[in-house]
Amino acid sequence: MLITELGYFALLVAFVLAILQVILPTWGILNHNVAMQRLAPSLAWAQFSMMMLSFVGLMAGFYYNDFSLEYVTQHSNSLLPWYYRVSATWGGHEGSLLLWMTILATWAALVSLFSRGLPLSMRARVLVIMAGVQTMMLAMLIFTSSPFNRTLPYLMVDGVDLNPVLQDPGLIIHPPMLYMGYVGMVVPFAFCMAALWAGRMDAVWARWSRPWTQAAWGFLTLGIALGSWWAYYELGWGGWWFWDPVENASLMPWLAGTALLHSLAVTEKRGVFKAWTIMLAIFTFALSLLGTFLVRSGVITSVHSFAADPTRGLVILVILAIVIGSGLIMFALRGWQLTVESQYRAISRESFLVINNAIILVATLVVLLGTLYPIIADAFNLGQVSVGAPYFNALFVPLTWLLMLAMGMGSNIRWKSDSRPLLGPALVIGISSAVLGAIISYFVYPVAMFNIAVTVALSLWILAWMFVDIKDKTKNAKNRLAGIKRLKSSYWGMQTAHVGVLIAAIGVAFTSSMSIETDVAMGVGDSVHVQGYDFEIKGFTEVKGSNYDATEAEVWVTKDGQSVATLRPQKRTYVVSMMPMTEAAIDDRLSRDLYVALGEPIAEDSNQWAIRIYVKPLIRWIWLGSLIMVLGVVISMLDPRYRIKSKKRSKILEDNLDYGIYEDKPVDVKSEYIKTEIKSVNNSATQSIEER
Amino acid sequence: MESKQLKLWFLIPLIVFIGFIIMLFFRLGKPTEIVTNTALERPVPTFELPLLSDTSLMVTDSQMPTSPYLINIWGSWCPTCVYEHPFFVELKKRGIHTIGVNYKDEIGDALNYLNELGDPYLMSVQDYSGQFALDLGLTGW
Repeated sequence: MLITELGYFALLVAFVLAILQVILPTWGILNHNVAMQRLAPSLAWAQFSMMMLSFVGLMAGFYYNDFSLEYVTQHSNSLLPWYYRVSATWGGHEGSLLLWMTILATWAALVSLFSRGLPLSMRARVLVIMAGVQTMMLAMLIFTSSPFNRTLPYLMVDGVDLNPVLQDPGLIIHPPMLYMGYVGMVVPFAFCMAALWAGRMDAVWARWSRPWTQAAWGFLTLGIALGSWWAYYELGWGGWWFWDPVENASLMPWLAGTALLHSLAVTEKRGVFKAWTIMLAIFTFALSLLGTFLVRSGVITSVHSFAADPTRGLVILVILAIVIGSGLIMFALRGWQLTVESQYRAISRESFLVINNAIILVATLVVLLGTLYPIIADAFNLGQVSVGAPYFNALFVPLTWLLMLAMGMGSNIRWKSDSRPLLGPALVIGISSAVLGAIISYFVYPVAMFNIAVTVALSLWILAWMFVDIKDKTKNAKNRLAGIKRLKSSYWGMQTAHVGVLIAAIGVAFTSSMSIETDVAMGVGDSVHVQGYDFEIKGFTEVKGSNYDATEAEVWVTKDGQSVATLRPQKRTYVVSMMPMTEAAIDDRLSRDLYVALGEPIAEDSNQWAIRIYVKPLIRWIWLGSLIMVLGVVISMLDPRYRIKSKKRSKILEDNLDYGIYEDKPVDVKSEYIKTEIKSVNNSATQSIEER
Repeated sequence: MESKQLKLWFLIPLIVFIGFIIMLFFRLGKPTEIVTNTALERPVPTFELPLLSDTSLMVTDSQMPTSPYLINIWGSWCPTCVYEHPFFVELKKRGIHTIGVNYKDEIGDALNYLNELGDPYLMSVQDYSGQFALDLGLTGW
């Protein structure tokens, strides 16, 4: 197919463009050549179009069932519905790498689109760094795992089919979202590196990279939530998180990214923790790359792994070493020059953000250690150990509680120093939310109330502080409404995201302590009573899908004689691969899920089936909470503070173009920022001495 | 002098990272060997799990045979288990007691498996969550 060949050609062109995008602007930066630096954004756009063309080319190969492509043969089949054929493009190692790089090119194009207001030398540096990563990744794709390899002269008549587990709407959007998040973490990394490279020791880069970090974090949150939701209804286990190495691989950059979001806020607003923030940006992107490495290298066994291949693993490891290694070398060479622009006291927003970062970082290390423990144990001859859910739960749950404890007061307390009498309100809010939490959990679920009580109490604690804070922030306005209107969207974004966190936390607490699960053998007419609901089998029918055969049960669910739902769980056999799949049926409400999964017939010719029934309270809250967190970052990104006025400024900037050091004091900066800047110039010498 | 010390601090991440990369490098391509002696000379961990053939009955460690016996962790989804299954059937013929631990399996699949290939076990317990197998020191999958 011509378009597929064109796609391969476009991939090679994109590779050349990426190399040029590294070399030409770098030459321009070193030789103060403006024209060469201006090439960076244009090259980013050109590279983006080539990557898109290449990706569409591969997609067309799938859509038109081009089985002369080895990759298509291995991951698709002509019986697949068209939307699964298209999403099968990222169903395997090669295609998902191509998606990875297409997304990197997309981020680079977005950066060149939205960074027009940045000094050119900075913009060029950011794009050079992104292109550097892209060049290495493209080299790996083209030389070790090209998805465009042909099987010619042999021609397969049909493909071996996409893994049935992946034939699901959730899987159409989960990988692109996840990769948008993973790969998006390259942007804050590139900004930090560019700042170090340019010798920018102020904190302007923090404001530039904040919206990008928020966007990437939002995508990552969405991707992880989608993955968890998919695992819940598709794997038929009723679980929503398995602490599988691959899940952990996406959770680690998310956690580090969360720490980065908060740390960037301090660096932007107060000009402190700069080195720490840069360190976190490097760490977050390193964890993203590590995730890519772990999934594809066969170093760790996991249910999700792509075909394990040590050669690919080695190449990704080399890329990881070069990208992160050079980042850390830059950090070691320049990081100590970063200045501290302000000071703070023990009771201040800054301190609470230190606590936040410390807890989240410990949580990240807990996951990292648990995931890599088999490797570490092997390296130090400690024997082989499997690390399972009990380890993660035992450490993760208390850490989350600690974090929620800090979150309540942290988002209320003032920058620099807070001399208000806080102990009194803290005691009142603390004790009342603890009592209320205990009472609520006693009435909800007296059997195992501890987890629920603590989580509910902490959520009330956070909510109470939130109201205190909003009241406090609006008290000087003419009336409450006017005061509320005056609050910035970044403030609302933060509060929204925090509400999302506690909704998810409540969902987790209730689901994990109150879920009921029953395994029963049932035939037509049998019924079982679970947690107030009656499940009755009305019959079994044979169903035929486009590429599978299935047995479908009809289950009537009633509560106190009232009809609640009719559920139709299926047991499918995919005709090409002969793989059986359980298709659970779920009746979802905000308050609870009823989940029925069809197992196997108990014996050859009996009409009894093994059936698994779950009643899961508040499980929807986990994903609802995640969506609210995403909404939070979206609201926060709308803050006009992040929008750099482009036209007027870029003209001026390009006229006195230099190394991009201090020429661009932003025109639209609010007074607080300028104050810190001025103070920092005056005090930086004395302060940095004190700091040391 | 002080500034030199400060500079050294900024080297730490790089050093940690290099160590990390070296560790990953030597792990590459290594087969994930299964070490089987982690449970050596340890008593059977306490457990209370449903009997596979009738999940309404619970089996605890106190009900284990007093004579020596084998414990085998198996699942209908596991190709190696199918491969080694005739060996356990053979052991049963020789009068050796084996207790099966059905690991992360669908009950219907598991019972089908035993119906088809023969049941070499004195009894099998159902370890749906995989927790007991973890207690026994199972490594790998």
